[in-house]
Amino acid sequence: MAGGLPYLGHGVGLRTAHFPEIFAGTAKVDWFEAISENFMIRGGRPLRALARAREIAPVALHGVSLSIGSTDPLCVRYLDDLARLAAWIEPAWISDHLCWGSVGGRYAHDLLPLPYTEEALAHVVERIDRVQAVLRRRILIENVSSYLTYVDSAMPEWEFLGEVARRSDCGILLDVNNVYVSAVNHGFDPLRYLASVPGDRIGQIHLAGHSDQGTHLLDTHDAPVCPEVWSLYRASVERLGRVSTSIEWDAHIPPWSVLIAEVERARAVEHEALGSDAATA
Amino acid sequence: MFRCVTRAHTEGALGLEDMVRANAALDASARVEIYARMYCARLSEVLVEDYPRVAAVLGAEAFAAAAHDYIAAHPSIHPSLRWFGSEFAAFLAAHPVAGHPPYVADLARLEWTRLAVFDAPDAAPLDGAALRSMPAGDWPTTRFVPIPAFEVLHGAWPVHRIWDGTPGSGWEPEEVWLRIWRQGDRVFQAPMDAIERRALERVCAGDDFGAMCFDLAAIVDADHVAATAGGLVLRWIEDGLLGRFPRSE
Repeated sequence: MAGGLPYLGHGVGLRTAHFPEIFAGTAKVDWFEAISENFMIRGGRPLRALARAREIAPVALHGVSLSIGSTDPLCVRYLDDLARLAAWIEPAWISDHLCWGSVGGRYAHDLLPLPYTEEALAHVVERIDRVQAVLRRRILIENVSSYLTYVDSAMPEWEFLGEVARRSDCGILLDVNNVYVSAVNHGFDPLRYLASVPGDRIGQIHLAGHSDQGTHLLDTHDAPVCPEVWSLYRASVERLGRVSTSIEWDAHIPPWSVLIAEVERARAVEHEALGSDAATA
Repeated sequence: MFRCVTRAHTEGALGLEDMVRANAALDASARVEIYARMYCARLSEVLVEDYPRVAAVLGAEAFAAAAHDYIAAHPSIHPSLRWFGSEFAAFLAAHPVAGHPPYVADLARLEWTRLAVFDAPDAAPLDGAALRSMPAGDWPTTRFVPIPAFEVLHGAWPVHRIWDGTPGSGWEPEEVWLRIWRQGDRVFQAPMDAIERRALERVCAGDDFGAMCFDLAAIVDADHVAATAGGLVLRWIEDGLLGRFPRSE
């Protein structure tokens, strides 16, 4: 990659349900992705689990509350907590979402989509600059699943995301499931999205399951990766080569063995897509 | 948009139709409504996770109603959901609902305090060996310090008994002082009598063992003060409630 980030292989989101395997040392995986906010606490079992995971494998921090697109001021306390956590756990990288999540100091705790306008672009780029200065590192910004788009949007999401990355010199966390969910919800071609995001900026790929609500797909992270998303993952790997990939599973969390089966499937898809190149890339 | 989402939840009012694109599957308001539903569901889930025993006591319907009102009255003001439920106990106390058990606010306070203890800073506990190797003459001037993962809670109902499986029906008000602490990863709680409460108050105030004994002499027979205070200290050490002595300069 991808902005100089290492290739870590195939990892999983670190979740409380699997802390027993973490403490037992049986959670064998290439790397872990930890939700930053879950570990912005002062002590106790979660921090012990994170420290143990870090002994087992590299850890990346993935935030959900940076609210990079909000018109609220960046939360200094949040950034301080994140910087402190990063100094302690020494993550492979830090990521968050291309979205907004607060207004007037009130948090939605959701990944709300932005209007894709020049004004929003300048706003997001300026804030990423400041976040990267505080954290003293480049961050990855992830595309979100969305259920609405704005009348005012002047460019497609992939163009907006690419411009954010180019202007702020950040990386991209490409969530292939989110591309698929949004493609179905808004009627665009997911392959066009994948072909249009700047490949040299992509430092990580997310895979996850979603649910079909009839009128729309919902990004629920409560199921296995669906066949369409596996196909898109293969297309992504064919285009990008090896990219560190993680499975997100946040509700109806399965046993460790089931989660690892998804990880191994992702590894197999990568191998099929790249053939012998996978070992040497 | 967030204001509209929260308004959609609290008032059923929407105002984004002119901003949001519609298509054949969903019109603009239906798209906003997706976010409004998720907003309420997510925050309700957090309250259930933080207050499982309150949820069990109230039942799904009554808890959902209380959560709905709390979400409307207390929007989240912290980036982390960890703190969203911080005012729920006070909210339940200030908004008693007919049919709610009268102890539910106390139960919520206990659940929140247990959470605070669960992720409080780590600290190495004082072990008995350190105490046994201490010269007897050092006892009067020794200051014991509770670990950070320790709280005292004063309530009007014996809600801690719910953890023992005791149903709350038929309870009468009963003043209770609880000590709540973490040993390893587990959170414990224990009711305190007047002697233990007073002794622990002195420890928390920074008094040394001698001052603690002097204070206890007001309510304990003089011949038994030192043994009583020493017994309490040993119990707290066994429970892992006291931290290691600070290193001498």
